[in-house]
Amino acid sequence: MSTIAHADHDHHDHKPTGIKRWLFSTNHKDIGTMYLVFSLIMFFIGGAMAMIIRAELFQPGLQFVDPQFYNSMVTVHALVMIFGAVMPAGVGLANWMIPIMIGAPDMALPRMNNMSFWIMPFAFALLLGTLFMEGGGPAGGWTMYPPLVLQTGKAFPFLIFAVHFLGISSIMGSINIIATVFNMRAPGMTLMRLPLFVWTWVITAFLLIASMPVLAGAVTMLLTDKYFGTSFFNAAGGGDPVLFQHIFWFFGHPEVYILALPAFGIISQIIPTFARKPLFGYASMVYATASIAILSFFVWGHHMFTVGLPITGELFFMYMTMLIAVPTGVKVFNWVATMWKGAMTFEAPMLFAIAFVVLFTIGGFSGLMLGITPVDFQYHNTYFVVAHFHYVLLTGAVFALMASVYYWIPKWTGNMYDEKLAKIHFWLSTIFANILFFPQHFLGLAGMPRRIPDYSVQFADFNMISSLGGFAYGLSQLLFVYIVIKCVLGGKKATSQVWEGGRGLEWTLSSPPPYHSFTKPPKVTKALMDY
Amino acid sequence: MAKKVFRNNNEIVKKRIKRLALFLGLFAFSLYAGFILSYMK
Repeated sequence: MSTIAHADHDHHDHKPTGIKRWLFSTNHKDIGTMYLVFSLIMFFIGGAMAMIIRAELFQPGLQFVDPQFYNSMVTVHALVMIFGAVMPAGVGLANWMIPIMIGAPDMALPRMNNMSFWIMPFAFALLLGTLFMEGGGPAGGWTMYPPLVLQTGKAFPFLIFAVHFLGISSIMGSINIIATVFNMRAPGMTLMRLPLFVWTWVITAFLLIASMPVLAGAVTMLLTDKYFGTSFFNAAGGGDPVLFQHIFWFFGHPEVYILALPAFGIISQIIPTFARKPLFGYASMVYATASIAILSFFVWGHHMFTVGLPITGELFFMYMTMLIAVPTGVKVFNWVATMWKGAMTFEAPMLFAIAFVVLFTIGGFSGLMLGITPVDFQYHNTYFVVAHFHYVLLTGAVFALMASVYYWIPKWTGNMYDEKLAKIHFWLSTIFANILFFPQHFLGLAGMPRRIPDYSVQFADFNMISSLGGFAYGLSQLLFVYIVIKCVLGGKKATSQVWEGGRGLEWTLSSPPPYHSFTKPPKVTKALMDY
Repeated sequence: MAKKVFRNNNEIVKKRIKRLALFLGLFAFSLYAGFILSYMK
C-alpha cells in the first residue's frame, strides 16, 4: 500500500525551496513542522524563565533577581508555556497528523493555516519584547487580575494585543481543523472510525472557538478600563473586579482541557500500538472526551472559592468538579484495560505514555482535593496548587507531547530515533520532574504561598530539593533536542509501518510521507483500523 | 457521501468548507462582541 501511495504521489512532489517554502507554505506538513519547532523554542525560553525562578527559590532570601523581575518571570513563564509551547505543539501535531490520519490531501483552508502560524511569532515578539522595556514585562500573573494588572506599565497594551493575536491564531487553527475533519475524510472513514487523536482535536477545536473569544472580550475590557475610561472592573466606577475572575476562568478552565485533551488523544494512539490491542472502549472514550469538554464550562468557580461566592454557588462548582472526575476516570480505566493482557513492549513513546497515565492521575487527584470547597480554603494560592497543575501540564501534557514526538518522528523524518538515548531521556525526565514537583505538595500543605521570591526558612529544604530537580530536568531536555536533531539528520531507515502494532492510515504512507499526501482517496476498511 | 466530498478542488466541498468556516468565525466574533456588550451599562 505504502509503495503504491508513494508512486502515486511522486509526480506531485514539486515542493518550493528556500525561505519561500516556509514563509508562504500552505502544506500541512511544513506548517506542522514550523509549529513544532516554534513550540520547542518557546519551551526552552519558558524553561529558562523557570530556571530563574528555581534559582531564586534555591534558598530563602533574595539572591539573584529583584521581586518585580521575579514576578515578571512567573507571569511570562506561564504565558509562554501555555500559549507558546503546549498549545502550538498540539496544533503542530494536528497539522501534521490529521490530514494523513483521515486520508485527506491537506487541511481544508491551507492559506488560513499559514496565517494562523505566522501570527504567533509576532504575538510572542510583542510579549517577550516587554521584558526589555522600561518598567519591565507584565508581572501581575498570567491570570491578569484587575486591579493589579492595571498597574502594569508600558508592557500592558503589548500584553493585551499579544493575547488577542494568539486568540485569533487559535480560532483560525480550530476552524481549519473542524472544516478538515467534517469535509475531507476519506471514503469509509466514518466518524466512529476516526482515530482518537482526531476526535480529541475536533472537540478541542470547539472548546477553543467557544472559550478564546471570551478571553479576548475580557482583555479588551481591561484595555478600555485602562485607556478609555470604562469601569467594567473598577468598583469606584460601578464595576466589579471579581467579574473579571468569572470571565477569565470561564475561559481558563476549558483552556486546561484545551491543553489536556490532545494529550489524551496522543496516549489513546500510543497505548494500543504498544499493547498490540485495540483501544478498550473506543466509543466510551469519545463520549468521555465530549463530556469532559462540556463539563469544563461549568466548573470555573472552583478557581474562586475564596472570593466569597454564595454557598450554593460553591456547592454547585464543587459537585460539578467532582463530576468531571467520572469521564476522566473512564479514560484512565480504558487505558489500563487496553494494556491488560496486551503483548506490551516498552519503547520510549510507551514509557512516556505509561508515565503520563500514572502522573496525570496524581495531578487529577490533587485537583480533586482542590475542588473540595472547604479544603481549598487551606490550599488556595499555595505551592500545592503549583504542584497540582504542573503534574497535569508537565508530566501530563508535556510528557504526552514528548511521547508523540518519539512515536511519530520516524514517520516525519523517515529515520528511527536513538532508542537508547530516548530511554535515558525518559528516565531522567521522569525522575527529575518528580523531584521537582512532588516536594511542592508538602510546601503547599505547610503553607508556602505561590508567586513569592522569598520565603520563611522552614520551607528551605524542600525548596532546595525542588530546585535541584528543576535544574536537572531542564538540563535533561537538552538531550531531547540532541535526539531529535540526530534523528532528522540520519539514522536507521524507518519502514512505512514503523511500529508493528500501529494501525491507521498514517502507517500506510511512506516514511517520510510524500509532500502531497493522499491525492487519491484511500479506501478505509474496518480491517485497516483494527487488530 | 464521503466519496463525493473527498476532493478539496470539488466546488461543492469548497463551498461547504467556506460556509462552515464563516459560520464558526461569526460565532466566535459574536461571542466576543456579545460578551463585551452584555456588560455595558
